[in-house]
Amino acid sequence: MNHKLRIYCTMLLFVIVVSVLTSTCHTGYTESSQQPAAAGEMRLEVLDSPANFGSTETDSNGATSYHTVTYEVNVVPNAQGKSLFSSVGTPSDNQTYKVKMQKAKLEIAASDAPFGNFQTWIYITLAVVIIGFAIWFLGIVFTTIRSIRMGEIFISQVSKNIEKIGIILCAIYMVEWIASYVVTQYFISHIQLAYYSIVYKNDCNIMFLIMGLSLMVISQVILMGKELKEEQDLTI
Amino acid sequence: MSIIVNVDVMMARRKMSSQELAERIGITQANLSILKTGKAKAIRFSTLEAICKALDCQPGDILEYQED
Repeated sequence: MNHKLRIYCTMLLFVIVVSVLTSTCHTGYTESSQQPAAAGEMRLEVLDSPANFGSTETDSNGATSYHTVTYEVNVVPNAQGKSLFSSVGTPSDNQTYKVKMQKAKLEIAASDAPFGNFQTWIYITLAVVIIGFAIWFLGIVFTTIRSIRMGEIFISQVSKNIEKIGIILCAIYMVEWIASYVVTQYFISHIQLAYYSIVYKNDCNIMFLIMGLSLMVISQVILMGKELKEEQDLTI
Repeated sequence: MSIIVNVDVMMARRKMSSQELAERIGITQANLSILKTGKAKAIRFSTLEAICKALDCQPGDILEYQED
C-alpha cells in the first residue's frame, strides 16, 4: 500500500472520529482564564440605540458619517449571580425567560477599538493576497476538472492537483483556526464585559479539513490507478 | 529487468519481419516493439501462444531469465 495513502487515511480517520466525538459530547468551550472586570462600576443594560453611535468623520462635502468596528465573540456568564431576564406580557400572562448569551457581536466606536487603528494599506495588501490566492486556487480546480472531463483521470497531473487542492483546504482550516484563536486570545486580554467572559470556541468549519483530507486520499488512489493503467497499457 | 525477451533473435532465425509477425499474432507493430525492447510489464498467455505458433518455437526460446 502507498505510504502517503496510509498516512492520509489515518489522518482522515482521526479527524472524522474527533469531529464525531466532539459534536456529540463536548461542551463547546475551552477554559477561559479571563478574570471578571476589576474595580469599577459594572452595568449590563438595555438602552435605546443612539442614531449616531460611533466615531464621527466629516468628509469634504460636510457630510458626517459614523464608524464602528464589530467583533464576534463567544461568551459565558461570569459566576457573579447575575443573569439576563426577558419579561413580556401582563401580570396574568407573563412570559419570563432567562437569556443566556453564547455568541455576541460587540460594536464599538472605531476610534476606541483595539485593531481600530489598522492602516488601510494593510487591508488592501491582505485583500490583494487573498484575491490572488483565490484566482490561483480556482485555476488549479479548473485545470483538474477540465482534465477529468476530457477523460484524462489516471495521470500524475490530476493526482498532484487534487492533492494540492486537499492540502490548500486543510491549510485554510488551520489558518482560520490559528487566526481565530490568536484574535480571541487578544480579545480575552483586552476586552472586558460586564458579567460575561469572552471564551474561545472553535467555530471553524471542520468540513474543510475532512474534504481536504478526503481529496488527499483520492489523489493517492488516482496515483495507484495510474500505475495500474500503465501496467494494463504495457501488457501485450 | 531480469527477464529477457528474445523475440528479435527468433525473428532473425526465422527471417521474419516485424510487420509480418505482428500481423500473424494480431498485435500492433508498436506493441511488438514494446515487447522487443523489454518495456512490456506483462505478456498474455494468448500472445505468447500466438508468438510460439508463428515462430515455431517454445516459450523458453523467447523468454530468458538473467540475474541482475
